[in-house]
Amino acid sequence: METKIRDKKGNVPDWFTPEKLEEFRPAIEAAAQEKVDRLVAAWTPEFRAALRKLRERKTAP
Amino acid sequence: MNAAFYETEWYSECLMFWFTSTGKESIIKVILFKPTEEFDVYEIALGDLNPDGSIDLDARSDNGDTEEVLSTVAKAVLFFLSDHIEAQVVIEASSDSRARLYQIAIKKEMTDLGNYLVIYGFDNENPEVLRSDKNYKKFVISLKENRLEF
Repeated sequence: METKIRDKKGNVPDWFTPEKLEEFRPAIEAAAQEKVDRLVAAWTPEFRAALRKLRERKTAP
Repeated sequence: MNAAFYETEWYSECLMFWFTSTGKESIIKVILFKPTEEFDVYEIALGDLNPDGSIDLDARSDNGDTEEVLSTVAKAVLFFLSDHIEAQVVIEASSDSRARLYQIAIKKEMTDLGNYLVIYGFDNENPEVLRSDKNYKKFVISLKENRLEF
């Protein structure tokens, strides 16, 4: 696979550090979970069935 | 030719990635793969991290590097799936314009990643192989069989 990386972490904003990310992580996770829960709540039974069918097709011998 | 993409760092069993979007300004982007109540099905959340620790998951940052950002997300999906080989990843567009953007990006990435990934678009509730003359609001991505070595 071709790999071209535009940025090598040289432009990270001053305020950001991996430690900050760890500190923020619970809030990030919670916000993402809230959004995902909202999206998933709107999934119809037909969509869920289609997901399962795709999985079965993939795992079929 | 495939777009350039940003180097990502990952956390937490490949469930969270971050990278710096360096367009008009430098923005920390976070990609999360969140499990759903469906077995081994994950939804993607992509957001801009703010200095106060909040994350804007519906941001249109208009940073001038959309192509690179979407290409980075595509690589993160492949990386995630290489670690969760039976998983299905659902991507949902929040608007028609974003759906079109995703579709263009997916089509472009398929040149590179099509050997590794299976992608279905959902029109209403029926999955179908992506067609360029149709717009899809949801995409489901999984790893192709026997494509674990790359």
